[in-house]
Amino acid sequence: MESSLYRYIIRRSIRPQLVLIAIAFLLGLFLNPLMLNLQKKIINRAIGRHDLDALYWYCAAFLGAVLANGGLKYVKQNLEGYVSETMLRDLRTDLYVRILRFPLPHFRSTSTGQLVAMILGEVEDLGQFFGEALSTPAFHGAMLIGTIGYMVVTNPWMAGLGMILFPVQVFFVRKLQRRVSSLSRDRVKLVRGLSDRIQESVGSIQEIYTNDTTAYEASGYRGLLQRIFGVRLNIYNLKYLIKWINNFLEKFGQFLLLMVGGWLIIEHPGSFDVGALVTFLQAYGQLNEPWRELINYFQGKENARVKYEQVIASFDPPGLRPEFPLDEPGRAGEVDLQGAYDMRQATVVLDGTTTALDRLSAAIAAHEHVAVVGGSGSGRSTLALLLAKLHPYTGSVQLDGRELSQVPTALIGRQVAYVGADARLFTATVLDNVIYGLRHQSPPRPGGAGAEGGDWLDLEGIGAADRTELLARVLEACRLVGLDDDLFSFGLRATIDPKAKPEVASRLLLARRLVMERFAAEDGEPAVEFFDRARFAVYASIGENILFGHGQGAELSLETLADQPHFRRVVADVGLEAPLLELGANVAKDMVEIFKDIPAGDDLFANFSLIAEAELPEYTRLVARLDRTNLTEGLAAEDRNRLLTLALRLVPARHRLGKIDDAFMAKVVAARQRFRESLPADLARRFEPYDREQYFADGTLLENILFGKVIATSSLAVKRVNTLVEEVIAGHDLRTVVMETGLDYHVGLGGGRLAAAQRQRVILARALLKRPHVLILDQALAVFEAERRAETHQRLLELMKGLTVVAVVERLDLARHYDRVVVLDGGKVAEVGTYQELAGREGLFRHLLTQAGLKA
Amino acid sequence: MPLEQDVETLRNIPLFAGLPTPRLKLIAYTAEVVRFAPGEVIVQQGDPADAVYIVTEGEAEVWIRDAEGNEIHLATMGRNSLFGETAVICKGRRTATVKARDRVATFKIRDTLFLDLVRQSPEIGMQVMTVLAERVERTSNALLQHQHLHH
Repeated sequence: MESSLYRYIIRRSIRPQLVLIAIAFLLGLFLNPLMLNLQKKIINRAIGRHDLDALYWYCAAFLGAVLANGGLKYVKQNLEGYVSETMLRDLRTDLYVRILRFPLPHFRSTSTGQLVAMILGEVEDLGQFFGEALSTPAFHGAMLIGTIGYMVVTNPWMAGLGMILFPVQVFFVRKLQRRVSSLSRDRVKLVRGLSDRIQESVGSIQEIYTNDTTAYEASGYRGLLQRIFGVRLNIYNLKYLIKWINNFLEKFGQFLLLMVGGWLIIEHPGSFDVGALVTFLQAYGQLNEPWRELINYFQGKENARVKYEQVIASFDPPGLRPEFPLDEPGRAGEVDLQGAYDMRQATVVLDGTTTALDRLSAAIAAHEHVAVVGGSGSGRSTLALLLAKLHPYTGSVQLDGRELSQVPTALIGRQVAYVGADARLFTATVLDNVIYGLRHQSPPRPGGAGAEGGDWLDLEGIGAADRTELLARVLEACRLVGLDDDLFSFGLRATIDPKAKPEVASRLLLARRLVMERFAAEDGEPAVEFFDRARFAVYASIGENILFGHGQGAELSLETLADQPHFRRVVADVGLEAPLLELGANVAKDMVEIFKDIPAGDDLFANFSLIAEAELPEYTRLVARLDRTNLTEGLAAEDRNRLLTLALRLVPARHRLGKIDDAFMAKVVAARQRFRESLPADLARRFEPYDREQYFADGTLLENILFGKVIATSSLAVKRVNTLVEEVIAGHDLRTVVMETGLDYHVGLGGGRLAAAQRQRVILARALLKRPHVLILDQALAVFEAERRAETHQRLLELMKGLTVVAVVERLDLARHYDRVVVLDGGKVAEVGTYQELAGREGLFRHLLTQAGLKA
Repeated sequence: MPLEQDVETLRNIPLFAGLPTPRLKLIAYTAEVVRFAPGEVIVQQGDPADAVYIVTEGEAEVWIRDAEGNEIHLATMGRNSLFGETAVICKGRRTATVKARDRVATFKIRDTLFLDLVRQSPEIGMQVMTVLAERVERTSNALLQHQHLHH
């Protein structure tokens, strides 16, 4: 990147800048003087001579000049804005792209907070400057030259006098501005420190809480802000000092003119006259206006330069990875990597001091499976990074006879897969994360669609013809790494849009019918209470029984139902209001009685109470009031609402509270029917009633398949239901559908909604999906359960038969599955051989085995 | 009200007889009603324990498998009997298998609540000890008998 601000501006925006300069000259040299000239002419030639015709003509010309001047200024400002915004956008892109090229070790010493502060904050001020960088000095410079020219022609001596103070001004301003610049630099550094501090506090919040250091942290933060405050105050002082000097010198110039001019007129009459002095004072005023602007510009320019240089310096670390073509569909598939590594005297130094690999020499044959072992600090992880071209090195590392640093990243990215121990996922769906490894192929651009559009998928690279085949590949990869059960359960708990996937919805409806038939055919205790429009469901809440469907939006949700006007009308119409209030009152009494002595915070509340712990005092008071008031009339609106809400939450078969008789159930079913039939049209559009033959979009796949409530009082009902649902799903080829739905599961921020082992499986699936020629693992299965590790290693090795695998293994005994074992010690190769050989002879490997309590 | 009936049922069980009504209500309310078909296994010997059971309808049989794999019938439990408390108190695994003889209905009381009850009320603690002592005696008798029959 250009090291100087002006070079950057000229290289990135020379053409619009030239247009801007042209406009500035036009305005400053031509239109502005023209307007002044016309004014003078109107006064002298038209008004002075009482010439109406001339007045009309000159005024028309003046109006024209004003319009042209205004129009050009408008164009200039817009163009400046355009240049500013374009350059700001491009600069931010350039900087981000630079981050993507930072060598891996650089990230250890770079804070995200600073990078964000630089790209968003520091660069912001540059934007405005980009637009006026050349046009402002051009405009005011032109004005200044015009005025000076005029003065020199009229009276060179006085002109010289008018400018005599300019060098003094330049001297002071430059001197002071230099100090401002140095302070600005300090300020930027301090503000960056502030970003660091915020980032660190967020990252270490657990430590802060654990050690009760909030006050300490806050005080440190305040101290930093105080220093920034001091620097900023200094900058203010200097800025206003500069302003003061400028103002003084300007007025001092006037003083000089008046003094010398007056003296001349009085002492040497004839050499100078009053008229000339007045004209000169005017000209001096005109001279000073652009001069002042130029000085302001100089100050702004200095600030911009300091910022630019400081930002650029932080984005130019040594060892920057090569530039990549942003939107060139460059394919690197023409070469197939064999995966033969030859390392000679390879050295890797971390943080400039720690030698992680020390003149290491080793070879890995093509298609070989090699396990790397060694204690912590042996350099094993660095070796894995090195082989994946993730770390700069000295010495020689050859891949297929070519120096690794010369192998294009495009080739590495497509054919080498690296999986480390602690995986971070992108905040997206499982699918997005798995196919991420294919996103190096920019989409074809029909009609010049933007590079951010399209799907950026290198299907060709993995030999998939279309998206369907890709999906099949993704599922296969997930199965290989043992993610399929997780996907299945994600899928069962996910929703789909039946309009977008009518075929899937109809197959799920078929599954629903089959499940119903299977349960109908079974004898013994029923396990599921299926929804039936004409029957009260005792395993559903009263609210669910009345609503009997899914409403979109808050208005028709179970929690707010008690307050819903249509619901209230229906309940009153069918005569259910009084029974519901009575039920609510009884439930409230029972709840208060049962829970009043339970200690606060007991999980009994969360698990069993119909009243949240926080609501208990309110309900206690309500119960006390109930003894004194008449339920149907004397109750305040709020209390009625509370009682109704409570009644609606009740699941009769589960809670066994209150009196639910046949008459009550009949009324509920009547309310259900009326609720649905008389639903206002606007609500009806957002309401899906339960219907045996209809898929409901708001329900999960499982809810749609089951279409009812599991009868928890029947022993093992849950188990039976699960088994049966799984059987039906497997028997009708629905497992894939469910797993595909599971692929759309959102993993949360950085994968936070998945367990560590699940995250790792997603990363492994990503690695396998791209069908790598070289697979490098660095304790990738560390978070797996011990018994799954060996199995997964074997499966991976089976899959990678005929291809190269280098794995830093999690446990020494896992190395037995590999062709060869490389034992590292202190960044050097200590031993190499097969597992049997190494275990059989005296040496480091055997020592490590014994130390780990494993049999040689 | 079914819950009122459940409270009465609990009151008839000697173990709970002395408890105040709100406590009984809490037990009845948090207890799950679980029904079993004839022959169905209610708890399996060796499984981790998470609840105690009270038989409210029907009869259940207690079986134990000895070291040699022989199934020994220990006892039959009728209405109002409690089982499963040994493993819950010891925080261990089920010591016997209980099967439904006919259609059986039970109250399932989760372990944490049961342990709270034992801890908070000395009467219940005493009762539990008595029941446990009887169990131990009955079990050892049954095992002795079994050995006599087979040796």
